[in-house]
Parts: sequence; C-alpha cells; structure tokens
Amino acid sequence: MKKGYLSVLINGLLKENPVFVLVLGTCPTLAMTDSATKAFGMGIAAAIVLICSNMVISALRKIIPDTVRIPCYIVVIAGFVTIVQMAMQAYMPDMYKSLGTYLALIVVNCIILGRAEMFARENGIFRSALDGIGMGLGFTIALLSMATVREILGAGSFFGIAIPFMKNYTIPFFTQAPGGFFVFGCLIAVVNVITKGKAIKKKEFGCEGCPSYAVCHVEKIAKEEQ
Amino acid sequence: MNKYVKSVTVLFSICLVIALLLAAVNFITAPIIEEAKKKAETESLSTVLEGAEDFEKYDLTDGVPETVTAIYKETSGLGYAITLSTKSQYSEDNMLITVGIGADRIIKGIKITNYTESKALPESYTQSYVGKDSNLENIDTYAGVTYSSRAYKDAISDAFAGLDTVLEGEKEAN
Repeated sequence: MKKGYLSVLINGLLKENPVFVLVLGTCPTLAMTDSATKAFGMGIAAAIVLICSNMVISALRKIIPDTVRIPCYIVVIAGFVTIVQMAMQAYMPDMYKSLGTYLALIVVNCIILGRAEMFARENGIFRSALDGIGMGLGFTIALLSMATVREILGAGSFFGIAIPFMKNYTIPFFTQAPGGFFVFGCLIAVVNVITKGKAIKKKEFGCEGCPSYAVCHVEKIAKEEQ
Repeated sequence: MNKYVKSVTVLFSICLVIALLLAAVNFITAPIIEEAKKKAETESLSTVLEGAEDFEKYDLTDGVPETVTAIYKETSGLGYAITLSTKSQYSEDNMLITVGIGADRIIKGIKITNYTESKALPESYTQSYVGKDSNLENIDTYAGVTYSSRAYKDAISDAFAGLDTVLEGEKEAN
C-alpha cells in the first residue's frame, strides 16, 4: 500500500532518517560536522541535489532501461552536483572553500543513489520530490544536530560565534575524528531510544534494504541457475 | 540488438542533455567566478603594494628564475607584485612569498603566504627587507634558521632578476 504524501515527507526526518537510522552518508557526516556552518552548507547542497535528481529520475523512470539505469542515475546526479558546485563557487565562495572536496563527493553519497534506486524509480515526480525534501531535511537536521554538539563542546562556539562562558572550557576531542564517531554513536542511541528501536523494520537492514539489492540479487540468481 | 540500441541511445541522450545544462550554467557562472578570483588575487597582491588598484599579469619569458611563479604590474604605474616559491629546508611544502617592488625599485612590502618549517623566520627579519633595493645591503642569513633565511634572501634576489628580465623583454618588444 502506498504511503500518503505527508508520510512520505516526514519519513526522512526521524523514522527513516538517512543518517541516524539508515546509517547512509557517514563520510560527509563525520567530516563536515566539526562546525555548524559547514554542516548546514553540506546539508543544503545534498538536499538540493537529492530533490532535483529524485524528480528527474522519477520523470525518466519509464524511459531508462534497467540495464543502464545505474550509469544514467550517476550521470544525472553528477550533473546536479556540478551545477550546485558552480553556483556555490560563484555566489558563496567562502562556503565553497570550506566544503572543499566533500562537495564533489556528493556524487557518490549513498543517500542520493539509494533514494533514486529505492524510491524515485518506483514513484511519481511529486512523491519523489517530497521524498527528496524529507530525506534532505533529515540529512541536514542530522548534520546540524551533530555539529551543534561537536562545535559547542569542542570549540566553544556556534556557527563560528564564540560562546563567552564556554570558551575556556572546550574539549578539543569533540572536533577531532574520534569525537565525531563518539557523538555519532550517542545520537544513534538517542534516536533508538526515542523510536524504541522500531524506527525501521528489521528486514530492511538486510539485503532488501541495500540500494544495490536489485543488481546483486539478479547476479545471485543467475549464478545459482548456472 | 534493439535492446542495446535503446540502452545506448537513452544513456547518450541523458549525457547530452546534462552536458548542455552544464554548459548553460557555466556560461552564467564562469564570468562571476573569474571576477571573484581576480578580486581575491588583487586584494592579496595589494597587501604588499599599498594603494594598488588593479594588476596586469606578465607572461614569464625564458631567463626568469624558476623561483618566480608570477609577475604582476600595477596598472597605475605604482610598481610590481611578484609571487615566489622556494624550497626552504626540511618541509616538502615550498615557502611561498609575495613581494611588492615599487616603480623606484625599492621593496614596498613582503608577505610569506606559506611556511611549514618547524622553526619560524622572525617577522623582524622578513620585514627588514622592506625599503631595500636589489643589492639587499646589510642583509644576511638569520642564525638558527640559516637555510630558510638563505632561501628567502635568494628568492627576493630572484624577484629582482625576474622583473629585470621581463621588463627587458617588454622593452625589446616595443
């Protein structure tokens, strides 16, 4: 049974949050959350790419043959990432510099390819756009919440603005890689507590939940038949 | 066969549309990016040549020392800004220097833009070059940072040599 529009939209916020529940896009999550500004920039950039690519892939879903669907998705996603990159370099050069190579790496972000494969190729344009908005917002919120903890505790500032009483009590561990993993783990635990561990059905963690399931599954059957 | 033709056609068409879209976005953003880069470059060069408004880049001719990476002329005739890159000592990263030389051939300002050696060159030493001409009189290496200060001094000398070479070439061309 198909979910309602509101359900599609809010799914990505908590129930199927791409970072804390699906545990996708971990690389930019850990790298870009030492500052709230970077986290916000990365979240918005990924959300724009996600919404646009979801809509285009959904619109072309009946035209794209199954055999070349992954290259087609990658071309579409890479196109939108390059557009975002060029626009950011022209109009937000400081943000462009701070995101560095991670901006280009949105192309291989599992969330975007995953949503194309799991949602956009089976749903209409409007639903896919809603899914993109929900997942994009979920990703941005996850990054911001992680960055808030890490920047306040690790650098004594928020969005680059120093917090007077925190400045002398910073814990640099939080801005470093181990601190990122620590906060990531804690926030996953918090989400699990809030959702009582039922955020997503257990079976979706298996092969069926993987973006490459269809490709893998077909190969596996072919091997078995041989 | 038909299946393969369809796959190729669809993938090719998507690539074509995306390429056209990127070309259109590039057409809009490229001039803005170029202008922003030029502005940032001018601002960085202005720090060594006070009052500079705009710069023109010279083409580096044969004979310009390898240390010299770029030579710029201030358009109102205030002087020149030269960027240098030299190997300092232990670090794999080169020492990067920007030096401003006035039209009177006197050093107006110097800025080290990259320095990764463990022992720093004191600012009192690096700024002691300001006001000197190409002879760099009374300037020696700095004890304790001998290799880096020698590389620094040689690079500044190269800046003058490079500038002379470029200006001679310009004179001959005219």
